[in-house]
Amino acid sequence: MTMVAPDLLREVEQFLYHEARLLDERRFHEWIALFTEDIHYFMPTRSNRYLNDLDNELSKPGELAYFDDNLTMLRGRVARLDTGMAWAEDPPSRTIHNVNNVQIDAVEGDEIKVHCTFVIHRGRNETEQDLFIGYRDDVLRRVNGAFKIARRTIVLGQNVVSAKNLSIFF
Amino acid sequence: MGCVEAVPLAEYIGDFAYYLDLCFNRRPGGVEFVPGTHKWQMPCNWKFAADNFVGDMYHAPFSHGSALKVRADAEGLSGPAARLTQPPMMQVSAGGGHGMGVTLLDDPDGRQFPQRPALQEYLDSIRPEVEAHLDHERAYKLSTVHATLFPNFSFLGSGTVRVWQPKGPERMEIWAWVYVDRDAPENIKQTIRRQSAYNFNPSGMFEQDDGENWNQCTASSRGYIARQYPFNYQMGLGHEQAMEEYPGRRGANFAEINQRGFYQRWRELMTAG
Repeated sequence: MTMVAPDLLREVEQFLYHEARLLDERRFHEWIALFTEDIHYFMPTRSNRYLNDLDNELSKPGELAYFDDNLTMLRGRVARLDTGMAWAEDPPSRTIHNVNNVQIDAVEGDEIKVHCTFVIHRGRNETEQDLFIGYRDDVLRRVNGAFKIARRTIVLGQNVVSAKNLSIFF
Repeated sequence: MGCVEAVPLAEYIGDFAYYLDLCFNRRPGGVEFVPGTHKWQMPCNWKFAADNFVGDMYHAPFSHGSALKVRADAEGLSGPAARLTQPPMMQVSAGGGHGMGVTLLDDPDGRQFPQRPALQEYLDSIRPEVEAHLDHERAYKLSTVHATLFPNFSFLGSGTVRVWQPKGPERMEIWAWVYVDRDAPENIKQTIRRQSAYNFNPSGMFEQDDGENWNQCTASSRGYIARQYPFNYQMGLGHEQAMEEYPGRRGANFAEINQRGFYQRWRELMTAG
């Protein structure tokens, strides 16, 4: 376990909470501004494997993924929500992003590797509900004094996604 | 016992084999699948999805208005110019419930991926090989847009392949993959993988809105009034044509010829024996 200065951990946690709140309040333009130009936003697919084959549980970059976005692609998703024709998000999802178990795995120059778990509740329409639970590995980079997200890997606990879409952000 | 005799696979596929080859057997090496599977469940009847892929091109400008607008904006297009990026197409009902939407390349405006020049260059570069392997028509005149092999195997020419697995009348599980020509250069394989998955998977720019449609169509079909009436599948009825140059019967791009073929086959099987 890496011991880090409490102030740094606190700063990282507050950044992640702020980001989560931007998503829950649908402030997507402020949210997309938190990413670096070289962001890789990645959610691999899973497959159900025996213990001796767990190395192949998650798809790798270059293989099939649920999200495999650079900044242009991520901006395209935000732009989609602005068209007035993004039916899967109109009426919009009501999300609560809970970010938990925040740990700093490494500090390397301007970059900080951060691990956290998440519990996201989505309510939509009258009675639709989805629960997305998993973990994230982020690389935060300090740019002009402020954190930006330079890499994000999102891993869901589900093998078969039990939602009709992944129209929200993680 | 009221059951239908299984026929040999080649017989089952029938005339649709011509179009399967157009998609999966263009090059002598065939296709391969990118590692990884998209799996998700949604509350809908699986036939809405099979119906969508077999012949429903008319939903695209409306259901996918958001993704099409983002794409057009990225290319600096607006108004009629944005709409013109869709090349001319026809629907082909190949019998057996199978159907495909096909781009007509010999039309002056018929191009497959005008927005992606590297991919277009690749497709143009393999045409002589495709002509030698298949024929002139499938090298230079036709390309795959969307299709369903009856009943629940669907695919797009742009890379996605999926199986709609019924989990009861109002739930299905989708398993989806991305295929690429085995002999394509690595950068082309990666372009197809990334673009196909960006547009088609539960997070896909296009597919998000499909899920919403299929879910809501299923929900609204349950109502007392809705159950009193048949669905209306008349679009293009009376305008179907036999073709001399290709297998199957032809309908306009925006027509329900393929859905009629799909549900007629479904009815045959459900009422057999």
